[in-house]
Amino acid sequence: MLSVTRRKVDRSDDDGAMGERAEAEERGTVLLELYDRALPQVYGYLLPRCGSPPVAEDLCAETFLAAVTAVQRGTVNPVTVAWLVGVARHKLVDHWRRLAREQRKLALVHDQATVSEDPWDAHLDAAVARAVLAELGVHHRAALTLRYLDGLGVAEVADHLGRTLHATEALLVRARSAFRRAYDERTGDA
Amino acid sequence: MPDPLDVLRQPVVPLAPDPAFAADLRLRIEAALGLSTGTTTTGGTMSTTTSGPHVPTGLRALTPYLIARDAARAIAYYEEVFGAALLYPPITGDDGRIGHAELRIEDSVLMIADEHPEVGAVSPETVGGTAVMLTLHVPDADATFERAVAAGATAERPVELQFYGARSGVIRDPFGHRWSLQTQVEPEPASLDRTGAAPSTATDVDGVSLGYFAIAVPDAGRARAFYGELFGWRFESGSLDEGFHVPNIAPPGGLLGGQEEPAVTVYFRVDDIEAAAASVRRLGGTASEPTQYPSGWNASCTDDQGVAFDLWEPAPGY
Repeated sequence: MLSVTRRKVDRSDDDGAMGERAEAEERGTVLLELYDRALPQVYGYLLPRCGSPPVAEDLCAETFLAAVTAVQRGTVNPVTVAWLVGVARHKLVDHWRRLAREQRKLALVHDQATVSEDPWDAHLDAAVARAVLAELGVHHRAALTLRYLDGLGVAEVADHLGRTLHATEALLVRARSAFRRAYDERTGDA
Repeated sequence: MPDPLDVLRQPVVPLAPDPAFAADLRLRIEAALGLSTGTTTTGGTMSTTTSGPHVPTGLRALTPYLIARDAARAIAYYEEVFGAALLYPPITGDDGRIGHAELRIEDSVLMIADEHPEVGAVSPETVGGTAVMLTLHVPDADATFERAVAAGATAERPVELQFYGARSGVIRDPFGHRWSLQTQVEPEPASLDRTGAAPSTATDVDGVSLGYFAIAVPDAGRARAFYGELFGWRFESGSLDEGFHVPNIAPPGGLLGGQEEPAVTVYFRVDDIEAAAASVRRLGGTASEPTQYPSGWNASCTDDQGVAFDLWEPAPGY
């Protein structure tokens, strides 16, 4: 298949105006060569964060097809696994946005919950913590996933969620409170 | 103070998705990139190659099962050289021998285990050779061949362009298994067509044969219900609104709804549409001027007693 692609590239080079397309094809070839190695990484990023194989598959497909578009427009060079995981993170955030629109009323209720200001000094059980996270409202789950599972800084979380730094800090405080309340309820500490 | 929520930290652990999904997404990426690999089937979807319900999800009807003296090392070798990926951790016995492991290579699965001579599972190293060669299609046979040899394989036949349009070479891997590494770079000869029906069991078929048939009906939905129930036909949407392809029969056929006059059209597969149409006319029949469709050239004919049939010169891949 690579040889087929190369031959296509050669033919395009006959015409100078086709040079750009030849480069795009070359990058497309790189993307395909990367596919087998990148797919488990992208899927492995998505599945634990969205918790549903069908959703993870959909987001995987969105990620790679978005990569095709980026490759064809020449907006990415070089194509790497890390870059694809970054695209997957954007697709995950888009997924949460869609969920949030569907569940807008629920999210409002969550956001109005009281905020606990006490410092929280506890050792959490990781499995319980993940189960608790999966039950939270979409906004809270999104913020906490980016901040804690992915380990992003607050500014990066703000960037991904399309919010100001200030709004994101406030969202994280509310999300942590909601998380703590749910965790305590589940473990009987309430 | 450490943040209790740091316990949530989750670095990316690679996970292999369902192989069918992975293969399907690869095809979608190739299509989106405008690259054709010749892996699409007549129906334009993967479904014509889907196995029946008696085959577990993710497998095809036939799967190679390799025995190696050091299966763990063989797995690492296939991962490095062929880009294989373990589908799940190898199943290991109390004695430390790998009893079963599955590796995915593109859309195919390779099973592998350590030697278990007590049940007759011995490797080529023990037997002193192998009677089986595995054919693996890779994106770049030259590169894979070099990688295989660099990682310890013996080169048996260098990569060269073969008459069937593939660059292909043969290696013997460090565990004694022989592989033909191939990359299709040119169209295959028409005689190797494997896109259509299952081959006939008759060995003396040398006349022009039926290639396709189409049933025209007013109501496609009713016909689907009727023939689906009667014959177990499956239907795939085609390029026409009310057209459906029936892939699970030999030769394949189709259904066309929205037709006032119910009719069955048979399509005979010919190599040269002009010559075949001329023969029809010479023998007292009629033949229309050949018309080109994505599936190939077509001519509507009648025989010398007025029976209607079509001639079809299939386009490559049909």
